[in-house]
Amino acid sequence: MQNIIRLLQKFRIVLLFMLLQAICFIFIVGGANSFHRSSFASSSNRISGFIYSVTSDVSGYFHLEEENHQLIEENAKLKNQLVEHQIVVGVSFIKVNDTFYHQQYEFIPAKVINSSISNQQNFITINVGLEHKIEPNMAVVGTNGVIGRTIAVSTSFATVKPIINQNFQMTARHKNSKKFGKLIWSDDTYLTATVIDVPSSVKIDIGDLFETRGNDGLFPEGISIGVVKEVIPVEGETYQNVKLSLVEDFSSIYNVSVIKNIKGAEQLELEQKTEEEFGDESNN
Amino acid sequence: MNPIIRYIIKVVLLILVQVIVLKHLELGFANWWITPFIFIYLLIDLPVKFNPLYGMMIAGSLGFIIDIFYDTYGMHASAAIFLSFARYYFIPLILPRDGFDENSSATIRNLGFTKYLLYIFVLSFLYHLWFFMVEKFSFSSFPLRFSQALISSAVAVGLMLIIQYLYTKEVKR
Repeated sequence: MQNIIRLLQKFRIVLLFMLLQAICFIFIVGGANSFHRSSFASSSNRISGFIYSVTSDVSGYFHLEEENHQLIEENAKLKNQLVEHQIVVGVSFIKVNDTFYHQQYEFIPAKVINSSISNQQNFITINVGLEHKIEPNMAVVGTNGVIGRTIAVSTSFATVKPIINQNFQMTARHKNSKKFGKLIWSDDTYLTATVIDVPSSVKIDIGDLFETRGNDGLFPEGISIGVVKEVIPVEGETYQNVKLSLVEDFSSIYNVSVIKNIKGAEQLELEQKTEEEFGDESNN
Repeated sequence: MNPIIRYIIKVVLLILVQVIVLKHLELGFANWWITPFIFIYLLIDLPVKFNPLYGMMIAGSLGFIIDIFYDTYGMHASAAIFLSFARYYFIPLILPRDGFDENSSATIRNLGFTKYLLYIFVLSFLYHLWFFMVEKFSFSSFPLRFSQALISSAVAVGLMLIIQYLYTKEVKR
């Protein structure tokens, strides 16, 4: 017994080192694979959120011009889409406020108070939180297209995992053919992302658009993700990979919107129920 | 001033510099970036014979605070604990045999410039390399991460030398 204690004492530094590293790695692996994180250990934490919102208030003045420009452009784009500004080409196209249309997505405006592009795992902090009805795992879009999804939310801040994070994944659809693949970010720069497993039967040209598919219950259908930069055929396989250049410039994002899917819970419930009831049968 | 209060002031200042200034510098291009972490000066600067058990605990806590700001979830804590662990075995190799006050930290004045440079460079390089490897979580782009760690730690060492100079100037007065 005494020998064991003496041995423990002799190696106490190495043992403590290994114990602490084990705790750290449990955190690291757990954090990489989860959709939700505690806001206590994230930048949406009250103290770090406060510090970042103060610094972004100061540095925000230097970006005002650029920010204004972005907003004016987006305004112009939206004005062009207004029904009143388009010529009615046929009687059947007149749109009225009717009860057949329900609003499915709600946009909540937010400001980026902290972001990074220089890491393998980049994150963004935004200035909306629980008090603005933000939850973990909600879609975030910018003025041009997809940004990412929320993972940790505190009272008035939220942390967003953007496309440019090596643990980010979503489905991306080729706009022209409606065929889809998996969007990942590995060995990419902050300007690019990769879509893997696109069927090789699809003809993809450089300059084609990839957009959201709208199947995950988070992102509405048809939001731009990126433009094809390069098509990488895979030898002897039935799929191909595509390199996209992202439509959002992650080095200068200020205004974003968080999207709340009003029918999202309903979709999720139905999907879970289906899996519980019919999942077993398909296995047999 | 009480050394503990002085240390806490240093902790607050260096962490603020790290997360407000250095985090948003983003020097570099494409997927190769210079990201110096100078908060490790707090660990390097502990007294040379500081109990390594407490040292690792302090390292873990400071790393965890940086993790909160960087959303890295345990990676900086892991690297900082590794730094403290390595420091304990590295210090005897670099210290003069005798005539060294055990309660003082290693400085340019009591180690000499070359030895001090070697001391902080090796430790901060180990820190950056460990962090980049854990962040990528694979050996796939090792040469890239290695060069990134080398340059980032060189920049960090430069900044830490500036801190060291400022600090010694203050003492002389």
